[in-house]
Amino acid sequence: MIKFENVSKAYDGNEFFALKNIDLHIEKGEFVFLVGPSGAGKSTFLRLILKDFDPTEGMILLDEINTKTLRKAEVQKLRRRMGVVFQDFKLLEGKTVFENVAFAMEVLRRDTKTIQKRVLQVLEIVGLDEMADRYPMAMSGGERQRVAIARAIINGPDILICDEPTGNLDPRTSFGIMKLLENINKFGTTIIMATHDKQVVDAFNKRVIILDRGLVKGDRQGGYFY
Amino acid sequence: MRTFFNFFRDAYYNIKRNTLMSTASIASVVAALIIMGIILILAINVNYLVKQVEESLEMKIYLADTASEERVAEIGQLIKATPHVTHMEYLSKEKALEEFASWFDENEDKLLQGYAANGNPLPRSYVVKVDDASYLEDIYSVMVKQEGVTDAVYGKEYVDVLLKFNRIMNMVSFVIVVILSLVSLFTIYNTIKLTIYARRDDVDIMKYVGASNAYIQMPFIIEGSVLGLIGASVAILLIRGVYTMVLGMMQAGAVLPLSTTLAPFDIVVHQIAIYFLLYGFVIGAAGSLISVSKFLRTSR
Repeated sequence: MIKFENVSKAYDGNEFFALKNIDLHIEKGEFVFLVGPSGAGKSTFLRLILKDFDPTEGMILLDEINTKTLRKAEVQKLRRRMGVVFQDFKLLEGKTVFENVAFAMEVLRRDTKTIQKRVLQVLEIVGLDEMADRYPMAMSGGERQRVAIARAIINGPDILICDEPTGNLDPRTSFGIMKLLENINKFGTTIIMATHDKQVVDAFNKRVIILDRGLVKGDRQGGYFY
Repeated sequence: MRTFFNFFRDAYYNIKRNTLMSTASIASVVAALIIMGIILILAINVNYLVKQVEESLEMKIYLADTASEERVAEIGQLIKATPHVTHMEYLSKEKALEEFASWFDENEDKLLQGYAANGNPLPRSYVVKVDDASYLEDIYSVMVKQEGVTDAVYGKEYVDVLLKFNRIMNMVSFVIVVILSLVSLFTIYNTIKLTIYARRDDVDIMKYVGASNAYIQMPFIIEGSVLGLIGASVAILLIRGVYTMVLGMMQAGAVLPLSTTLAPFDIVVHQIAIYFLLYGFVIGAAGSLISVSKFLRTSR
């Protein structure tokens, strides 16, 4: 589903490569941990999939389509197939839980009835059906991350990109979030998750890609850390 | 429809949230428009003045005493057939004297009685009016060459000065309008830039769920246009107040040349209001569009 073919990325005006000669393949329905120290290139890896920018060398194929060749409208279409969860949640503080989740559907101009129905379904999946009218400010970190996940999956993405989703959470809450992501993955969504959380990686038996200074240092199945 | 309502709602909340920068943008538009307003009012009044002067301007074509009645009639026909002539009146020797006499008061009037008795020296003439003063010169050059015409006169210097002043006025206004437009554009551009930074998360989320650029840009463009329109409305109200005051003062005492007056407020406000609202809208929308497009370009 996602193929990196000899991908390297250097940021504008920088001789230093954030990623170097990456060759790998992520299958549909996989759950992949992306681990490595700060500056290893994890975020660059995720942003390349999101087509925030293009690789400096090599190419990324999404369902055999080179992302570099996509036009603006096609990039928008591509992103509709993806959901993103950030470490800092990126919730809109002025909107309620319901509105935050609904926002991702409104943006795509879905009709009100569909939005109403779908948001309540998804809030139930993430265990927040009782909190639809709350504002993010009045919620715990774990609850906020659940809102962010609800928003990321509301449009039924094929791929869920998670950038340190448990980075700001305590171990117990992190475990709850991971269980939720695992369930989402069981329904067929490919999940790529960048993390520093050793406990989390050790506890879940998934594929682990280890990055260090822009290079792939390991790519193995199993619950272990670098 | 619902989406459109949401755009306006977002724009409203943004303006409220960034009160300081929004006020700065509005103030910048108001300041620019007031200065532009003063220039425009001057320009409108110069045009109005020129029009009034044009309407009151007439050419007198003097006829030789030796010219036969037939020749005088021919010249009359020629004048009538000339383009842009709106009015023509024949002034006989007697009528000319009568008119001349009317300039004096009753006692002085007697001074002229001798003229009437001993032969009237005032020539016959045609009084001609045109619809556009700039044609007077052409008509003049044709008429003075006619047989039976001794001379023709019109307020050439006065018209030239007015037309020249009008041209300079238009040029200066244009340059000032361009400079002020750039200043307003820049202020709105920066306001929207700050708004975008304040709403980076919204933009990121929209971007990552695959919203179109137009969808992301729309609330910001509406916000900019609303700021521009508010600025324009405030400027119109301020100018209206000041102009009404000046008009009142003029009517109370001051006198303009040739008994002309300032253009009535209705004329001024209609011309200015439309320009101002359009200007506010365009500057606001353009400033926002540049700002948000730049942001989307660099963040994608």
